[in-house]
Amino acid sequence: MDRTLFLERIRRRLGDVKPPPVRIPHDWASEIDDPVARFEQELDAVGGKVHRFRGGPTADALAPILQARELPAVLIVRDGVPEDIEAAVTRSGGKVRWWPDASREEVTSADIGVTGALWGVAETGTIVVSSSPPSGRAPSLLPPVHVAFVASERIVPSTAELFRRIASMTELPSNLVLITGPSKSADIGLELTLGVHGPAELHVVLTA
Amino acid sequence: MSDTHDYSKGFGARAAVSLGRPGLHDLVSEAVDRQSAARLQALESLDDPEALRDLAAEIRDDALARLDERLASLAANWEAAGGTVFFAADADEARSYVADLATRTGAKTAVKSKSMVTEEIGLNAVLEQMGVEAIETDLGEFINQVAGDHPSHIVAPAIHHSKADVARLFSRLSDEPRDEDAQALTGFARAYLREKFLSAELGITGANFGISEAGALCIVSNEGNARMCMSLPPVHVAVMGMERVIGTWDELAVMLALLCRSATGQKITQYVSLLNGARRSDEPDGPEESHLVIVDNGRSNLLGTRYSSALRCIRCGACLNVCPVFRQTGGHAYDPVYSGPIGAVINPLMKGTDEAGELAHASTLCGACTAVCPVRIPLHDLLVYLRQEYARESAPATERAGYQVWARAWSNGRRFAWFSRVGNRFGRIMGDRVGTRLPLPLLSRWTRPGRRLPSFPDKAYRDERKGAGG
Amino acid sequence: MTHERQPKKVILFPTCLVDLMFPDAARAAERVLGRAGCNVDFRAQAVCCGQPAWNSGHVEAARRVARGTLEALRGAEPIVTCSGSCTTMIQHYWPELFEDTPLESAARDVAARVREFSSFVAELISLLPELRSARVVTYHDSCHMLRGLGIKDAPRDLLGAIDGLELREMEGSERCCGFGGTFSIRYPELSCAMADEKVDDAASTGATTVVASDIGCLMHICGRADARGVALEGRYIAEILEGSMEEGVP
Repeated sequence: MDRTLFLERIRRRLGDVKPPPVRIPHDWASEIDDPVARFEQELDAVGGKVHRFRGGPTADALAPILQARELPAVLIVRDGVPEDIEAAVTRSGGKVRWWPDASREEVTSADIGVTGALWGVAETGTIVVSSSPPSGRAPSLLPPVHVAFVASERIVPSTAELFRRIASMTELPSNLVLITGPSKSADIGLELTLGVHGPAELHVVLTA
Repeated sequence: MSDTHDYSKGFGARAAVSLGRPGLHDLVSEAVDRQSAARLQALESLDDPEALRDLAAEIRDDALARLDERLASLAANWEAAGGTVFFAADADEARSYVADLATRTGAKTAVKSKSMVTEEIGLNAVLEQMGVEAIETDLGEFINQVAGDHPSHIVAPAIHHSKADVARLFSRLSDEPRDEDAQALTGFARAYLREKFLSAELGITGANFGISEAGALCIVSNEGNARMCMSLPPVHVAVMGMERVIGTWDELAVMLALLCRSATGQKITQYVSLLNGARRSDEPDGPEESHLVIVDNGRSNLLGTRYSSALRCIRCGACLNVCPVFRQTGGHAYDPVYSGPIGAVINPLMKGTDEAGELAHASTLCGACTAVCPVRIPLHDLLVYLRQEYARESAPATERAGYQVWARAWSNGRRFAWFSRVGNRFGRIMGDRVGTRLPLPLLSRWTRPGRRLPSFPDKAYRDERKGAGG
Repeated sequence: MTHERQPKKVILFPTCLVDLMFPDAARAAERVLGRAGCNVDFRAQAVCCGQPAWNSGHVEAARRVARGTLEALRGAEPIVTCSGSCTTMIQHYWPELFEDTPLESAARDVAARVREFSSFVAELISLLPELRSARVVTYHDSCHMLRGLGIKDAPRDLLGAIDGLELREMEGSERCCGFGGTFSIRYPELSCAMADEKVDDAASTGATTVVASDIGCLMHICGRADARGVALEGRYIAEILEGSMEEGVP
């Protein structure tokens, strides 16, 4: 239907008296004392895993994740992750595939995807990944394991605060995704199952 | 257990089919009890959930009062970000738009994430007709599709299927025996659907919210299938009911907090995707085209009426989970798409009372729905209003006459006293046979399913009470 | 001290179902109110709140029935009503039912004076004589009373004030029993399926008495239990109180 007609049809049904504009109080979300600790606690509660990383070789942070798999193919975004990550993966016997240079076959068959994240949210244990370079959409979605590096200082207390940050972005990407733990479902017999379509494991490496 | 309910018949007949289905009540009641408990627990994590519900109702009312402006700016901002918008007045226009897209892009396979509005407009049937394989990828909807079935719950569409049903269905689909192991069955679905995601030319999703100031859509999922549908195929189309727009990101934070808690008892779903138009030129992946279809299809019938609060609905399903009727029947007894109290309200309104008016009676008016609605829709009051329309326009003449006779007897103390004497004497003589032997349909409907009448007293209270004056 | 108090004037509105079919319940309410220091008036022209018709969408019939009751209930006294559901009808829906009619302000006045029995008596609990009973009971929250009036504690406070009485809460006490007035006739099988769950929940507490503040629910729950051969007797809350005043059973 023509847009003008569609909207006109609506306008005719609405009265002229409008309610006053809604004011959203700034502080409706609970206060949070220690955002990093809370982030860890919340993500843990939904089945994600937090690794605190206080510097040193990245291999130390990645070792527990990489060692759980045999010679994993690791899809890594070019920026937003530690510079020594390639060495860390190779040392554990993994194969590095760089995003977005890797072929479609290399992307779809990767065992682990590694990205950065724009923010973390303490209240919910959420990380936010953008479709803008370097991350894009696939590395946090297709592989069965997703590893995200997030700077502790990027953890905001609440989703309310997160949306204020998003509102003040000068340019939105085509897709921001808030990720809170591994993919899950309870559609079969009400049993919780992981990794339905997205990753079955989510590791967040908190960097200082 | 595919849906064998006959939607040309009344609610009572469909409810009877549901009641006669072994195991259905246990499946449904376990699922709704679990979701209700999770909801209560999740609300505890909010400082003041009641105040937030007030705020959410206000946010939705504000959007509805300015719906034309909100939609215009949503569309303009979506287009400014490279997306395409189509306004569909009805189901046919919406279906045709998506069908044309499929034709133009030469789609052979379309992957869909869970979307009630696409169920409402009957999109799959049209795509199938033109030879496009439309695959439901939400695990619950996928199970329903394999079973040839409708969703039986707005949020958890396959609660009427047991794990054994799923094992049987997936065995049939794959020609291989499958164990009743939820994780293994999920693994099968993951592998099966992953291929579809990677080969589909068209991705179809719904939208939970449109954010007008940003020209953005918010789409929630737990499985990640919605992300696949909007990221992998070269063309993505989001179909959104026109009422699902709100103003700002700040408002979204409030709505999201309540939607997730009310629907599944989560503080937030695993994935919340925020979309803004089409893939940017510097972005490494994503679809080449991003379409938004905004659907009216009877929603504007509610605008500016005493039913407009029903358009606040964010499809969380909390009202289904607490409904004592839904608990017995599941969703299929109501409607193939929208069930439970909200379905009983919006189906008659969107389709016209003649077609679905009986649904308004599919409630005891217990008010449990109203008590949990995150956007404070007075659901049970709206059902009463709908019954008023029904009584005026569609009720059988015998019903109307019956109420007139009753009103005459009950509107006067003396007539009531006379009735009570005659009625009680009759009842005492006949006992329980009053329900089975006498041509009194009201009484026989009381006793028919196995329900005894109380014993009739010697005298009504008013006759006992001495000196009862007027 | 209590006997020195000026008797409090109240109107007892039994409601049509209680009046017609359950006079014992109305009598019990009358006696309990009397023992709580009330002078209990009855208005014979007050028959019904009109709810059966209102809930079915027949507004004119509802108004016609409610009008007589409204006229009869005029005055200044509290109107104590033997049904949470009918109290809700009067309190919440009469102002709407009589909106834009000459009776609108009278309806608002009655709506402000109407009180559900148990919540009214709970405030006078200290005036009641010693209450004793050896009963084991379970309590069913009727929907309109719980969600329409927000009354959950008052009947429990009353039961709790009865020495020796044991209240065993049932699973899902807040869930509708499936009566729903005309719903029980419109969809009998569904209504009974709903009752079955309530009967099972009540019976599994081990109590053989189910107490409620709405007799419609009890008629439905116990009518079903009876047909199934489940031992479950229904008692209106006033009957339990009255029995506890007289029984004095250790």
